[in-house]
Amino acid sequence: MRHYLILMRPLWQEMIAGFGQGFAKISHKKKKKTRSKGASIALYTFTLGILTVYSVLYGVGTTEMLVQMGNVDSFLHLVAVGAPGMTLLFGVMQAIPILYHESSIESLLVLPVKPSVIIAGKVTQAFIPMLLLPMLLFFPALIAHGVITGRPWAFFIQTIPFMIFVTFAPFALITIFVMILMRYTKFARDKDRFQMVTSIIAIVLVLGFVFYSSTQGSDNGIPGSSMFLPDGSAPALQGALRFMPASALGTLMLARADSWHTLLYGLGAFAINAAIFGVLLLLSSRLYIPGVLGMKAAGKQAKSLTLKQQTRALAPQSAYRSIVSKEWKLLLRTPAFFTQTVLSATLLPVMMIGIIIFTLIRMEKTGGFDFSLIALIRLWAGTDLWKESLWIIVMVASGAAALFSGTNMMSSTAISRQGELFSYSKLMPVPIHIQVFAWLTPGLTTMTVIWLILSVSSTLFLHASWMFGLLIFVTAWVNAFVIQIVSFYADMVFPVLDWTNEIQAVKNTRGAMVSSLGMFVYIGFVIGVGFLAHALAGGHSLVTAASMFLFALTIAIIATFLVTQRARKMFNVIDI
Amino acid sequence: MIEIKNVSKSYDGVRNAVDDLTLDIKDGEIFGFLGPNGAGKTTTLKMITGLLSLDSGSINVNGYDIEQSPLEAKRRFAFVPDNPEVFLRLKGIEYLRFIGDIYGIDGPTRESRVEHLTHRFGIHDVLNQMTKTYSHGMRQKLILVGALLHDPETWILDEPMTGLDPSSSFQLKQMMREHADAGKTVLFSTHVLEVAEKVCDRLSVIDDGKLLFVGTMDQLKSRYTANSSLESLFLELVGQSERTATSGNGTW
Repeated sequence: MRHYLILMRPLWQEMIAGFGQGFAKISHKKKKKTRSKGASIALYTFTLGILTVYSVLYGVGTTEMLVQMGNVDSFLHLVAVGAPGMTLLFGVMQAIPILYHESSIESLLVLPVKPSVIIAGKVTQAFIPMLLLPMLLFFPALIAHGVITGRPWAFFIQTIPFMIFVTFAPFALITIFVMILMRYTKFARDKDRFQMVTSIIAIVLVLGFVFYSSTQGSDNGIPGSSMFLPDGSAPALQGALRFMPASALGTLMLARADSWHTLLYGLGAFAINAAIFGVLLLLSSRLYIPGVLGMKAAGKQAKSLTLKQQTRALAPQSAYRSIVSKEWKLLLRTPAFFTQTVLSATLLPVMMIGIIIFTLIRMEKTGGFDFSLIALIRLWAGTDLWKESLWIIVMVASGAAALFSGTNMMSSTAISRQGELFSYSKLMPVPIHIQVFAWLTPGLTTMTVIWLILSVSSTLFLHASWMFGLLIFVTAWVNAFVIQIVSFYADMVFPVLDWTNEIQAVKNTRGAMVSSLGMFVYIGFVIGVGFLAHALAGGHSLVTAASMFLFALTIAIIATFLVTQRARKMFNVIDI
Repeated sequence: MIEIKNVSKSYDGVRNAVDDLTLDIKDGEIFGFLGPNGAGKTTTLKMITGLLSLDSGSINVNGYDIEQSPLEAKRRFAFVPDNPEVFLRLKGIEYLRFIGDIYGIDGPTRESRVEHLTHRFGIHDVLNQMTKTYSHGMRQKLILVGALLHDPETWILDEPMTGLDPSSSFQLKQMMREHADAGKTVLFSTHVLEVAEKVCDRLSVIDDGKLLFVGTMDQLKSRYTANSSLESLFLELVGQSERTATSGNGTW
């Protein structure tokens, strides 16, 4: 235990640094550092506040629905399955880099401490940041649920161990799984390929689950609500809990918080977690260190280049194209970058569109309408009727664009991804505006292509006029641009360049936070502006739509101006 | 040619990592930059190359102020850092193409220079591999090749021999000599005193951010005991600096 606590000192520092490390590198002058820390705290407080509000709204909405259905405990089932699901997804992505890819691992391995101490330290280091997301998403919702349903005081106290119980056990299991693969398979030791493939599988599985759940039962717009039957029960969730004993016991612990049985269930959940942790430690001494030592860098011996190949490979191109090409190569070849940017940017729109199409087809078949829903929508889009709902179209396109753009973190992490190699950017005799444009290109290109495809395909599918498609494209592009440019600006101001594993560059930066959480704030503002303008303009559709569009355009112009201003002095304020 | 005038730099706002440094490095010479760990060598080199901002003073590289005309200055020098960090997921050839594009080197020139330099440093056969498979020394060689690709007037090298095998180290020293003999400038920092002694036309010793000595090897020896090795001179110089700092008075 003493060794563990000693080991945790630097690891804890690394964890904290993962959230706040960008500032020290921005300037070494004390005054500037203090200002940056203040800005950081304000940014964190703001985004955490927004996330809490969303979580509370989710908790209130779902609980009220379940109260009407008469089965309030189903909410606990939802959290008890949702949080471990999130843990499995992020656990894989968190455990692999922290356990195997950290540059500081070798310095730990030479220390005269038991392997179990190192693994306990590294597991803690991986688990705590991973716990934050399910905690942020579900904890406020649980409290809100408790207040609405009038749960006893013990419920509120037990929500904290509940969140740990339902997340730690799956995390430990996934860690054991990763260690076995790392130890015994050659495939896993090609670390890039392993991380890439496991991340893709995990994301696809979770998205598949989301897709499945969204196509079950009726959906009132609340995520997960379609899993509940009219009586409020959720057979799929209850079925899943059979395979998740810690979650099942944790759920009972909260559900029976008004009786002494809660202690028994709590102890049971604790015992399961402790047992899994014990197994993890026991196996770690056999699996972890040999796994780390057996790792090798990816890449096979490549054939030497012929003169012709070499000439082709060295063909000149402009500095801009060269930087863009380098960015794309690094995005596609670096697992952490790929999964957080390219994969999420392309999968989310595909999944959302898939859900909409599937729902439409299902409603067409089983909705009990005596007319074709798709034909009705086509009639609306194919004639001038859509112009009467112009503001709704602009609002939906704005929201969807912000959502898709927020998950596309190519621009929001463009500078942080450079890491220590940002020195190349400073050394290059290439004007900063060209470099900035090159950094923004992958994100903007992706968003442009996505919305081009979506606009054209929706226009064709709905037999709508090209004006309809153009409206969607322009509205979406401007709103997508807002998120890209604002989050890029955040990364310009608070870059994290001293990361030790690549996942830090795309997860723990201010730019990533602004992108993934700030989009919800932005969507809220767009909707707010929409309804305000609608009220003030007496329901005039064109005026309302124009107000929302101008709002987005104004932010885009201001953010672009700020980026150009910042770019001028960026190389002077970022010392590396 | 590099002109450093009254340059100071502080990381914490309290202690100067480089303190009022003034130095002229002329064309046609190999200039060695010596000092113990934490003396301010890398900080100085990073300021010369524009990686770090200056708190005060000015630096001109080949007639261009690094803060006023950074692009012009950067086109005319090559910098090799002490840590061979490269884009790990680019192939060697992709890295060299990237550097060639950034410096606007035309096709035939870059092809011939890549061919020449990679053969000279013995990395031609691995150009098609990702740089993450390279050893420390191979990465160092790749960075050297990239740095020299645009045939810069001034070479600025931070501990360039670290990680190089004897053959590549010899090649580099020979190239440094050829470059200086062609009337161009080489500035390099090193801990290997024998290298400095054999290669440098002039050298400087820096400690605690302050310049302790600038001149030729002969001038250094004449100040101290004749026929001393550079190592003993260096230790004597740095030791004196420490004593001065401790007593709090007296300067060089």
